[in-house]
Order: sequence, then C-alpha cells, then structure tokens
Amino acid sequence: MSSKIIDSLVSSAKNGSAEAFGELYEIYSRDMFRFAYYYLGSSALAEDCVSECVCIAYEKIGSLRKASAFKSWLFKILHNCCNSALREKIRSDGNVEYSALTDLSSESEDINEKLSLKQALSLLSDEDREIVILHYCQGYTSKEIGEILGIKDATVRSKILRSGEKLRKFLQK
Amino acid sequence: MNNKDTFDILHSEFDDDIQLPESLSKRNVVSKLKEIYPEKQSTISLKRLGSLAAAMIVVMVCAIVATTDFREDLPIEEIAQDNIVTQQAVNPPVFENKVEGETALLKANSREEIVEFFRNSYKENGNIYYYLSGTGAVDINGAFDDNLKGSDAAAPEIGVTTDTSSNRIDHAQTNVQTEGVDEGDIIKTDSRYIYFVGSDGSGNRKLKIIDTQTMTAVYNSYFYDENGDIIWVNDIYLKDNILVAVCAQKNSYGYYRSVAYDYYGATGSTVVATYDITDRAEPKLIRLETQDGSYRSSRLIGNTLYTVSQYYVRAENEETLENVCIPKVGGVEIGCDCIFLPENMGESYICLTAMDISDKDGRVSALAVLGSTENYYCSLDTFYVIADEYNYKDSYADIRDKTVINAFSLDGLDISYKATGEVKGTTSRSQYSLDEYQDNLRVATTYYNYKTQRNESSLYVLDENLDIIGKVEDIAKDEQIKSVR
Repeated sequence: MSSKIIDSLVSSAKNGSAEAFGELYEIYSRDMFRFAYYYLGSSALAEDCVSECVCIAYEKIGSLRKASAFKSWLFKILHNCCNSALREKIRSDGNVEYSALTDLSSESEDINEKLSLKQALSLLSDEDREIVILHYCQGYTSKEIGEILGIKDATVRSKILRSGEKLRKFLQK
Repeated sequence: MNNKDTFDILHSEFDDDIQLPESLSKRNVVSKLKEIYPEKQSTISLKRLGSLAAAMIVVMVCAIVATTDFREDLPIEEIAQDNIVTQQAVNPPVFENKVEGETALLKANSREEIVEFFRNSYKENGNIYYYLSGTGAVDINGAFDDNLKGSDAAAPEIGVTTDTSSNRIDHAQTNVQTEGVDEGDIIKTDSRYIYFVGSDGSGNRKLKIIDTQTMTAVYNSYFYDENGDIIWVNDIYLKDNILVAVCAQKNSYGYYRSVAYDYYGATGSTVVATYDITDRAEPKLIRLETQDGSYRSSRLIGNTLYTVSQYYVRAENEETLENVCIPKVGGVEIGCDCIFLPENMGESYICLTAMDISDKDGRVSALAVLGSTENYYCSLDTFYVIADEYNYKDSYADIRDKTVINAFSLDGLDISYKATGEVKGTTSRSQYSLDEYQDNLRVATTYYNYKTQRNESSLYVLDENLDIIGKVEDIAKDEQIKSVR
C-alpha cells in the first residue's frame, strides 16, 4: 500500500471527508467484518461492532498522528468494540456462553466428530481466538497483532504458536 | 509439522467467501457517516481530485492490496522499527525489598528506584506510543433516540412496582455476584425512579431519570464535569440521594502520547463523579476524583467505592518519562510504599482506589500493582486481582496456563496487600470463576493439557493466605468451563 496514498486519504479524512474515510475503510472492510464475525461468532453482532467502530474511527481520526498507523489503530478500535460487546453480554446474561452468541445449536455436539471451525474457535479463550483470527485468517504479523492488542511481540509469537496448535488439534479431532 | 504447514492448514479453514453485509458497503457507510456527522463534512473532498484520479486511486489500491502477501514464516525476524513500536520487554526486577511473609510481591524502596527501572526499560526500547482502550456505547431500547415518538414512555420492564397503597415497595436491583458488594451498571433503580445510561447515537452518553409514578423523564441530559464538559459514563451507582458515575475519560480512543497533567483528551484516566440528586431534575456535581489509567472495574461496599483502572506507562521521550512512570490519583503520585511489583511485571499498573461516597470532602486512598490483569473478583472484605500467565519457555510442559491471584484487604478506605497465590489454568476472564466462602477462596479454571490433548478443568480451594488447601483436578475433560455459580 502506497504510503503517499494513505497519507493523502488520512489527511482528507481528518478534514472531514467522509469519502476519503470511505476509501480507507474499504481497504479493510472485509477484514474487519471477517475478524468480528469469527471473533464473536455472530454476523449480526459483527455487523454492529464494525458499524460502531467505523463511527468512532471517523469521529476520532483527528487524533491519529501517523497515517501509517491507520490499520493498527482501526483494528484496535474494532478489538475494543468487540470486547465491549462481549462484556455487555456477560453483564446482561450473568455468564457469557460463547455458543450463545454463535449459531451452534444446529451443529453436532458429538465430541468425537471433527469439530467445525466455529466450534473449534469457541473452545479457545478470547485472546487466543483473536490471535488465531488475526494471524491465521488474515495473515497479520506478530508486530501488527501486538500493536492491535497491546501486547509484546515475543508474547504474540508464542501465543500464535500455542493457539495455532490448539486450533489444529481441535479441528482434526 | 512446521509453522508454515500449520499456517497453510489453518488459513485454508477460514472461509474466504464471507460476504460483507450491504449495510457495511463503502457506499452505505459513507452515507451513514455524512448523516451522523453533517458538521464534519468539509469542502475539501476526494471529488476535487477529479473523478478520474479518484477512480485511479481505487484501482491502484485494490491492485496493491490483492498482491501484497502479509504472511511471514515463523519464528518472525525482527523487523526494522518504523515509528510505531509495540510494548517492550520488561527488565527483571531490580528491587530487593520483600513484604513480610512469603509473597511474590515486592515493594519499591523509593520513588527513584521505580523511575530508574522505567528509564532502563525505556532506553532499551526507544519511543513508545500508546493505544488506549475505550468502551462501546449501548442504547437501551432506543430510549435515548429523541426522534422516537413517545420515547419517554418506552421504559423497559424491570419489575418496578408502583403500587403505593402498600407500605413496602419492591424494586429490582443489579444482579450482583456477592450480596453486599454492588457492581456498577448502566441502569439502576430505587423505589421510585429508574436511572438509565445510554448513548445518544452520536458518541456521547446521556442520563435519563424516569419517575415511575408519571412515567416521564425528569432528567434527560448529559453528565457534566466541573467545567461543564460532557463526560462519558461507563457505570453508575445509586445510594439514597447520591448518584456516582464512573467514567473512562472523554476521548477514549486515539493514537496519542501520554501527557502528564492534561487528563482530558490525552491520557487514559478514570473519573469518578458524584452527584447530589436530591432534586432529580437537577443533578448537582459535588465531587470529582480522577485516577490515572483506563477504567476497568468498580465495586461499592457500604459507602465505599473501590475503583480499578489500568495505567500504561508511555512517554514521548526520556525527559517526560519521569513524570509519567508512577500513576497519579487526583494529580498526586501514589506513594512508593503503596506500589507493588509482582515477579512477572507487566507494562501497566493496576490502580485500586477507595473513597467514601457519602463524604464529599473525604480522602481517596490508593495502591498500585505493576502488572496487567484480566479479571477481578470482590468479596465483602477482599479485592482479588487476577492475571493469566502462560509459560512459553517450557514447551514440554503439559500444562502451561496458570492464574496468579493477588488479594488486597478492604476495610473501608484502608486497602492493604494480603497475599498471593497461584493455580493451574485460567479463569477465562469471568468474575464468576471465583467465589469466597467462609474465608476460603474457590477458583474454577480451565486449561489445555498438551499431554492428553484436551481441555480439562479444576476446582481449587485456597485459604486466607491463598495457599491451596483443597482441589479437584483434571475434571470435565474435553469441556471448558463457561459459567460458574
């Protein structure tokens, strides 16, 4: 991605141009929705979170100092929106059941059967799930993931290995 | 199986064909933004570059994105730093002073030791930028959308009885984990009024106070600070004629540098605003307290409010580092004798404060623990701060997850360190994984056993010193604890 193009789009977006912001958004829109969808397990919730993220990002883009950080910044906001959605679910339900957020009811619960991706993802912790999606689904590096989640590079690398192993085992059961 | 094979296999599991919903298409998003933020639209727009130029940019962008390979083989080599640096490694502790008894927490000897510790850490890692966590807005039943007709009457059913013929009026309360330990919420009620906090649809939160006798809103506006600025409220508490609002600072999201004294807009701060609501139509701000760090959790026991925030140390340069490496409460640094340093130190502090909400001139007591945490549990006299740890050094260990629990005694405004303990597995960030019963702490955890290749769960009982006095391990194989009661 040409940094000059990004710089100019960010600059226009900071001046209030919704179209420029839209161009920036379009680059990542699919990634954002996929991330939220796999993380929350529900396309309706994912749609809400991406929508909320976009509003917040557009509103706050004035505070983005480095245009080159747009992507991590945007995903950081999305990560926060998704986790807020999960926290609100915990608060309103008392306990959160990840499966309650997903459409798992029609899937087989026989443990011996090979798990679907959704089932396998639901067995991971929130953080493992985020890392798995950012890395294995979207190909983000440990550095990018570290910026988004606010954790050390080295920690991300080991978490990528660990959570990848777990997911692989769940899927091949 | 090598890392690349793992990557290829897992990558192929994800569905490339997930369709973006129509509402999230660029066209619809742009249109929605223009509608919500009409005042932001500027005369400088992409159209002025010429439609051809715009089309070219879009084509170039698509082409570049389609051909860029983001993947790297693991282990990932160090990439040359650009101006964004992620969180850095933490040096081993330099402090020798231990608190009494066998604990994993150290206390700093002096302020200078803490500053020196961060200076050394900073020198290794250069400039640091910081991302602040914010929270999302929740709209309850469109109650704050003033475009809805009859919104004042659209109060949700929460079991309020308005029968004044009997002397006893029952009202619903927040579903708390521990009786006597109130938890913040966005909706509270007393026997007559309902208090809501909801978004107004444009990024701010409002307070609505509904009189259930008339089913009309007597107050429908924002929370204000002493300067008349709107503050963004996360949780509220209610006690007689006092309403306490706990807030993340106004500008929660942003890519910014930490600045020592400007708590609005530039740093992660938590604000506790106390309002006198004797006149429900006119809440009066009577007290405002701040503490460094983003708001994480709070509890109200009796009249004492305990507030937890998480404070990341970030500095523009080495000169300003000294000003920001110790968290402040009300603009004053927490004393070094109230700062605790666990063995595995993190990059952020957990700051715990206590204040009496009925005493507007009262003091605020505070302590801080250097280390990030995922979970909190509060009983009537103890605040537990819980961190997950993963042992990534020993890749042959069967079980690599553990939970470290730090307990702090609560006695009104006095908070003191009590004990540290650890158990296998993680609590999955649920406060309901812990429960105090007759001075013992029960903890339910789940972990992945690399030997048996399955999820297992355990239940531990810890005494007042957080030593394990009972346990049932390796139960519920292949399952994961989702909820505990």
